[in-house]
Amino acid sequence: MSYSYSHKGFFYLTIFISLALTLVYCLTVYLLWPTIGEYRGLKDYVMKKERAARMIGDTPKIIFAGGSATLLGIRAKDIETAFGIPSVNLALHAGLDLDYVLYTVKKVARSGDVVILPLEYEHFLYDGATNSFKASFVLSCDREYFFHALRPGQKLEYLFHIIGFNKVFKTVKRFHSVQLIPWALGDLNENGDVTSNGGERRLEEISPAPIQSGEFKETEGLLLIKEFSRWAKEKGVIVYVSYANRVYLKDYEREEYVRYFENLKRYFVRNDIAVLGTPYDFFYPVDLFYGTQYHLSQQGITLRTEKLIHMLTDMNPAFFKVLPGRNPGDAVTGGGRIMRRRFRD
Amino acid sequence: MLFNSPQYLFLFLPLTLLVYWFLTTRSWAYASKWCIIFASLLFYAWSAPHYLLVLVGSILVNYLLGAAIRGAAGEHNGGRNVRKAVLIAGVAGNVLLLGYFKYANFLIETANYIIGTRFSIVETGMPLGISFFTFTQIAYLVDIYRQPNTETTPLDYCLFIAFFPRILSGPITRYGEMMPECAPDGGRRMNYTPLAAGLFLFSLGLFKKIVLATPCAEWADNGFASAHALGFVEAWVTSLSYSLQLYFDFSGYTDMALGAALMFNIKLPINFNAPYRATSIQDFWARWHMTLSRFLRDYVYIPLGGSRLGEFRTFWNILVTFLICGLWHGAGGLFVFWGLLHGLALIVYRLWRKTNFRMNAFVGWVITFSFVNSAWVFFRAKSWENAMDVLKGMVGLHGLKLPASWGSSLAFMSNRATFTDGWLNATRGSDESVLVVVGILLIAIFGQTSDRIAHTLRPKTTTALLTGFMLFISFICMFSMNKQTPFIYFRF
Repeated sequence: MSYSYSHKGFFYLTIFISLALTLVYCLTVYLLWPTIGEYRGLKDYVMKKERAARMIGDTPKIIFAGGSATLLGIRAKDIETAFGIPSVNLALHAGLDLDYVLYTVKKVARSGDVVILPLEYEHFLYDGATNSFKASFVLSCDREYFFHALRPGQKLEYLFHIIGFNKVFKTVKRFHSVQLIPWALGDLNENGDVTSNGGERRLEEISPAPIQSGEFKETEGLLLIKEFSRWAKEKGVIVYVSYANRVYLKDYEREEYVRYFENLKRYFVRNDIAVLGTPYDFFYPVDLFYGTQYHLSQQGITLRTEKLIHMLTDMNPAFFKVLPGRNPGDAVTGGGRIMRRRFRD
Repeated sequence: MLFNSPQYLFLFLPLTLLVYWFLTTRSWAYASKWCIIFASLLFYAWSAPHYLLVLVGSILVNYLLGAAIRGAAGEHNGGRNVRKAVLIAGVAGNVLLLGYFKYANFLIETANYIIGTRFSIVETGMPLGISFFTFTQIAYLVDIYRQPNTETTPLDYCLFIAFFPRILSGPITRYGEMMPECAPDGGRRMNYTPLAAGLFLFSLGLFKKIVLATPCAEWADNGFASAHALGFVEAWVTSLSYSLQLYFDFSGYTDMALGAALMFNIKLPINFNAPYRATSIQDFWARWHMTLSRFLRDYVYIPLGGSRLGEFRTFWNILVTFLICGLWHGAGGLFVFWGLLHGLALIVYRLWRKTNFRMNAFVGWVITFSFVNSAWVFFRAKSWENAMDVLKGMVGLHGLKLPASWGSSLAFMSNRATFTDGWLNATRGSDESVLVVVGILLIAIFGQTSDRIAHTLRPKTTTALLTGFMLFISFICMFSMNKQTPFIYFRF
């Protein structure tokens, strides 16, 4: 049975229906989403890493943050052993995007800390858009971020992202079978390092890193790094931007890559942001990778960390002094003990 | 500001409507016009602040030229020459302005390529909607020349050109068909009939753009980006996706423009009439971008002589008109070639008609749609090679990929086809993409036109539910896409 209205009634009823449906949808997502616990594993990781950083207390520390290329690229324990400075690997999942990565760093960084950001190429290209993975994670596990770090428009975007556009045409079965973390993770040590690679060793498709084509522009990602650097200066935190480890390909010798990397360097210099190394320093042969072209095997992590120790020593010898009687190469077996606070879970 | 952006949907449009109707219901007709003009300039400046001066300057100069043509109308022979001279100067000025912003680099590159000059590219950028507001103003000058009695005030003229629902992508409107709608009639009451029809049309347009055009855009973009690897099915998914994207994107935009205008009680001319239902190429052009077709007919084809000067001259005029049509869409050889193809198709159609054979409507539709769909490949491609790669895929020169699960039942085709799970990898589509494309194509062919639905709208609960639901689904998709995809015709 369909009732006829005046055009006035129709006009207001239509607006009411669309807004009411939208409101009901937002409330449903907001209230029901936390019951879906698929993101708990990642949340545990985030909590363990934040705890690892907080346990160091107010002693100046070195923080490594970024995506999974840092998680499976740098061993903070080796750095700590080599320099005798407490170090923590705060790196998470690249799907959480640069804004979330920097948000977690801000929560634990204190004056005197050194933050090293070996960022993935997608981070430099980040356009500020969210994705279903991040929206779901934030709504399931980090309501504090949802309430305090997002603008009202972004909150709506997150709420609406739960049923992403692409899902409209996909079946419910497919929606729920999405593998959230495509690589399994081993345990974390007290520095926040992953102690073993998990999952399949075979690499997915190998392709050159994504870069900006055409004129170099300041992306949302670069803007976030600039703002973070400004924040760090105010707080007395030292920041180094660096590059993620990735499989070496001949493509990187092409002019467009050389030019883009040069533009990135110029951008950081222009904005007074310290840079550690060049992208070419962190390209490695494919046999050192595991699972994806960003994830090093444990052997690869050791090699990359050694290189980083050398670079840090050269870059800031006053701060990064290799402990007497210890070569960077011995770091893996070193035994520097750092006092950590005890925290209750 | 895009029509499908939250700023426009939740802030700009509702606020402008509120202020406009507040002023209108108090009989402050001039204030309500100023309200629309201010909103329109703000809308334009939001998208392209540095080009606002180009728009305002163009409006001012064209208004003065129109006034000069009108002023010289009373004088006899001398006046006629003055009117003609002003008209020619006005048309030339507009064409030069458009040429500078849109075609300077095309001309420089062509000259450098053909005669080996080394002129450097000019960094001009392009004011949004310049093709549309320039053509509208050329039409205005010609109309004033033909009918000098048309009364125009600076306020009305500014409103006519800058009116925000149509400034960026049309419809290309004549002064005489839009402005009487804006005439103050004193003591207006809130009129909910156009508001309701406008809201419905607007919702339908938003739904078309966001829900129908966007998935097609993704498959088309991916397909054109990997054109060299497109199998037969992928190539067809790519080309059909682009044809559908273009249609739903532009007709969605037009519905939103018409709907928004209707909410201000201004009726704009329709631009689409189910073009993919056309059974001949002439029929297609009577249904596709109708206001552009009308402009080209009235201000290019007929002044060139139309069909009055013999057959050869008629064909020539058709070709010139379509080459201009191609060039209007973009400064590039592929656009010109697309125009040439359509011009030639119209000539072939005219020759066929002279044979007096009647073609079956379905066969006519198949030929027309296949032609239009294939021609869009040149319209969309980045280069000739890119276009040829897609077309080669469409005729099977890149092989045939089919789903792995079909391998056992179609074993007899194993030496002709590759059975793989990645049979749609190049378009990055899922297995359902083919069905979705076919479904959207059926909507394009058999769906009722938006204009017809809006004007037979009965204010019932079911219609309100449908409209509200369309808005809701559009909102979900809009927010979940992060970024608003601009309308294709914004770049023309």
